Amino acid sequence: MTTAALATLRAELAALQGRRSVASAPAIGLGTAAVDSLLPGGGLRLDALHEIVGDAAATGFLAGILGRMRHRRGLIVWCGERHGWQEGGLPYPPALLAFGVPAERLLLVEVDRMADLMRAVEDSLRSRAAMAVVAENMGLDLTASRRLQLAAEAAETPVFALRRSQGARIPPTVAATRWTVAPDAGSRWQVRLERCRGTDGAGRQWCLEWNDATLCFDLAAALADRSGAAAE
Amino acid sequence: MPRPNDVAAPRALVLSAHNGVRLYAVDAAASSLGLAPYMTLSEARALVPELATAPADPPGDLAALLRLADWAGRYTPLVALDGIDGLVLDITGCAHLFGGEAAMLADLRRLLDRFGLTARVAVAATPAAAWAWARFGRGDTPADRRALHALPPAALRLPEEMALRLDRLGLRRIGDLAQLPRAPLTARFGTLPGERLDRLHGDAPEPITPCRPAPPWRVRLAFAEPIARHEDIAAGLDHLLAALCGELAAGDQGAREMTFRVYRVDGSTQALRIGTARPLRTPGLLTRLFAERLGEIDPGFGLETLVLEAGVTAPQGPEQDDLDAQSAAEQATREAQLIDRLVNWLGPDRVRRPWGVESHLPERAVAWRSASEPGPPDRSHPAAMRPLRLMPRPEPAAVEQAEGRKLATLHWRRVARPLVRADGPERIAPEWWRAPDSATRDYYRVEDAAGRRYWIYREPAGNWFLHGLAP
Repeated sequence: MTTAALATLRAELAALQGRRSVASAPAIGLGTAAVDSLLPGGGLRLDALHEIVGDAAATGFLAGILGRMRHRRGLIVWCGERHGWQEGGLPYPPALLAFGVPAERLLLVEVDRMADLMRAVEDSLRSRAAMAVVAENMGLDLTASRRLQLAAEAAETPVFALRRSQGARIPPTVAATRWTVAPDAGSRWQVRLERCRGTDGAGRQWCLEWNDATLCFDLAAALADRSGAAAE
Repeated sequence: MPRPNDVAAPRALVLSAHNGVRLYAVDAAASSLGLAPYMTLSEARALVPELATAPADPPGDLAALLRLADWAGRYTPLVALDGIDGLVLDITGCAHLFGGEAAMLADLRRLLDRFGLTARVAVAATPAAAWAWARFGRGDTPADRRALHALPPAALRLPEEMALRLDRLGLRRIGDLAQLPRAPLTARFGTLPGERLDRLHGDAPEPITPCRPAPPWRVRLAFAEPIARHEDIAAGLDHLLAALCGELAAGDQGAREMTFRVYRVDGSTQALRIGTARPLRTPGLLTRLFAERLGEIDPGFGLETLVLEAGVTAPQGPEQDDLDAQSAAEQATREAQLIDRLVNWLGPDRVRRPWGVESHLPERAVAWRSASEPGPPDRSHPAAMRPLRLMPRPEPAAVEQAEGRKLATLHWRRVARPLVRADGPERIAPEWWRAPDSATRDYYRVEDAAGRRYWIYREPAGNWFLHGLAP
């Protein structure tokens, strides 16, 4: 059987199961071929849950992705708990705008409890009023992530789970991708694709930086250059 | 025409012609002393030695008349110049917008008076009758045909010499002319008197040539009290856009070009014109096109009338825009529904949107306001040098400085963070009127050995604060 026939069969099977085939789902690329080529559909699926792990650097990576999605219609619903924002700071719209994020469409939703966070995210997805939903510091396990993945799929709207817990072990989830983002010298990030459903891209790591002229992620100079950059 | 001075010194405008300097226009005081246009200046000086004169400026007068014609567009789009000192307004179908002809005339008179213009105004069934009544009649409007017939033949706009000949024949009233059989009248004076009579009576049409072609798509909004705030102007424009788009939709048309005209209380006008690549009649999209340019409008002492015209239109079927508009409207509804649901569940203070605020201080430049408040959030300005995460309150920190005042270590939340890089200072001073409660800040962007980036500042007293985290 040829590869093409196999792909057709897979698509038919997916259709029978009432699910979109991986390749046909709309996705948003990072604008860097080295990364996008490893992702199913050439980018982050827009009907899926994605996890981004890290500190402020992770917010930067998320801001870039949201900036690349700027042409989508709707609100950016950003859900979190108050103490999380006291700890890590509130998203700051003037800086988001520099990433191309239509920050005037931000809707900041503050909840008290984890259960409320789930409900706020689900409500936002179900409303179909959001271009993306961000859930900050949501303790996702397999069950919770499956709930969110299904809701994202039904609403064709991406959910970004932004979590700060570094060091602590993160339980497995059904998220389409999981990224860890660590700061690197000179406004760069070490971005690692921890998990990726549908391809074997997991485990790769890149040094990326945001290009605010092209609104793309650029592959930063190779690691070999780091010593030079640090010595400046 | 300038209003006569109350001091009543006779004044005249003079113009040099090939046959000497002649009076071009005289004021009421000069007129009452027997002076009239076309008189030579030497003759006039002989009669009235104290006559004050100034050079006439016919091109300037014409320009002023054109400006007045523009202004008169607040009453009707059909405004035509009439000679060098008149305007004809076709107010068919417009008077009711002002509460009837009498009210419209009163409004016109009041405003002209406010501009300091002496004017004679009249309203009548035909342009010729209005012309005649404004110059020879008494009161606003001729009561009936008899009233018109009581006017002298000059009111028919006949050449002076012909009016004189008619007068010599004893034909002193228009009525006298109207009673004559047409054939001998034509044999003697040509076709002109007959034609003018027909126009006066409305038996022959008298097309007027408007200064601007009247756009068929036009809506207006007048205010009892002049408006000046840009929010009010924007709200007025939205209202007009909704009205005009409704009319365009009814006619299966879309606008390719729109003009937003504002009429200021001082009688001047301003216009903003936008063009679109494809026919449009979605108010939201058009609002956005105008929004960028709305700041160009200088309301002066206020605007009293707004007019929106679609100058160029093209056929537009019901489908495409309604699809856009429908989906845009659906999207807006969905957003409003989500906000309502969240606000009702969590409370208005916990569902917020960012509003850009004019302030140098980073924490004041964004106001998180309840999403339950009406009105779209403002757009704040992009600032690449700002941190992506701003602490709800600046947090006390400490910085150790090595020799050469180099920032060496940041102490924040009980952790010492050796610094490898520091950019700054960027001095941010609070607005002077807020000076009492805030001090000037020197901001630094610093990076620790792990590559984490912080936004910290020092107050003049030497206290350090951590304000934000950069990605």
